[in-house]
Amino acid sequence: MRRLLMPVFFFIIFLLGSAPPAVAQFSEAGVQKLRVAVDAPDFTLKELGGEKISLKELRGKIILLNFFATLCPNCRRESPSFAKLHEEFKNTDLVLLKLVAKEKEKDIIKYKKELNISSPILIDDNASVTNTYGVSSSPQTFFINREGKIIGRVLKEMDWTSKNMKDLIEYLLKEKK
Amino acid sequence: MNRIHLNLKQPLIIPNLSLPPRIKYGVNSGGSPVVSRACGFLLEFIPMKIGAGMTFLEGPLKKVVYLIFILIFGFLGARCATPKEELKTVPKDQVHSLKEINLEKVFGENRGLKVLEENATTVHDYYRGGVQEKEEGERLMKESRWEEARRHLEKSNRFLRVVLKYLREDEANRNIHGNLVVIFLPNLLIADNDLKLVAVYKNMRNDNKVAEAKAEGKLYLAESLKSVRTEWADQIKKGFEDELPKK
Repeated sequence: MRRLLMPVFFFIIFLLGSAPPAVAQFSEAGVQKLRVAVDAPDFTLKELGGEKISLKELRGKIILLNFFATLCPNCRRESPSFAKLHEEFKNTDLVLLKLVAKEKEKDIIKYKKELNISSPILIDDNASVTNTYGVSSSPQTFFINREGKIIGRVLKEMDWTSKNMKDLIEYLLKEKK
Repeated sequence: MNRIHLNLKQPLIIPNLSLPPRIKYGVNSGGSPVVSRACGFLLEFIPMKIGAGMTFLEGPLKKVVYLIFILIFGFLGARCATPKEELKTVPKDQVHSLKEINLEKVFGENRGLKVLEENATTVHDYYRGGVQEKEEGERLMKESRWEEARRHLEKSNRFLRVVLKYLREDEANRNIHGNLVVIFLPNLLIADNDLKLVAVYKNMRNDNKVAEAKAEGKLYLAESLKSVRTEWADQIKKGFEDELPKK
């Protein structure tokens, strides 16, 4: 009986200490998982050179909402990998949106061309959406699940094509609709 | 910016005149053609006047050379000076009007994505959370739901105290991201919460807490007034004065 006690004790400790799979996926990818998922505030914004996009209409998809600024060097550095991720997951339920506030259209066009961005860029003219999301630094990216809830966020520049990031996205895409 | 490196303390021996002037005299104008030409002319002209074998500082044109260098440096310095139109400063004792800074405006700036204590990580999260809890607390107060209002106002203070651990000073206009500017008054918001809590505790007949809230509120109000003066703060001050026992 005594022999059994120790392994059982260690097993319990192991169970208590190990994070649930989802949390581990998020932390390995460098994403802060929100302890409590919160509703993503809805918005409708004009896409650069295109139609209006409403967050509500994208319900049922996994959304990565990336706030950036054209003059922010960290945003510039992460943009190519964000564009690559967009290309790789083009035919899935993953939607990548970039959002920029209070910037001139010609600067955004130049930025898009320079960095070869293919994902939609939403223009938040009066920064109302940026304020609503409480964005206080750029880049900042929100992970929104199929139910329209924010489940995670990243407050720094990321390599969006890293293995861990792709694993996390695959994991989120596998979640039931 | 243009930089000229020339050590005038060490006597300069006039070198071979066949070398290009910028290399000969150790002058690096940083690429500006105007400054290059000016230095080049100066240093080509001086040796002719001084004559071979004489050192730079012993020459008869020493004072003139110094004067010209002073003028060049003065000219470069003036180019770096901030234009007058950019020098807009707000006097520290300026009183911000209620129209400019008020509670409704602060609430408006922080509505949106709900900040939960469990999710808050950044100072800005805590500030937004503090304001959101305050708004909820004040709404409940209007409905005379004292216990619930107390919980939210106290939670608001908890959030705001976290903010003050990192950013102690109130700011009328705080630039947070790109061109985004917000009203940032954590001290004043705690003082205002405490004033509201005085009313809440009174209704809950908790005299000890009333005294505590008054004392704390006054401290935070004083702290806020050290950095920003607002009509709103004057109103809160009056609110605390009205709470004093009448003689």
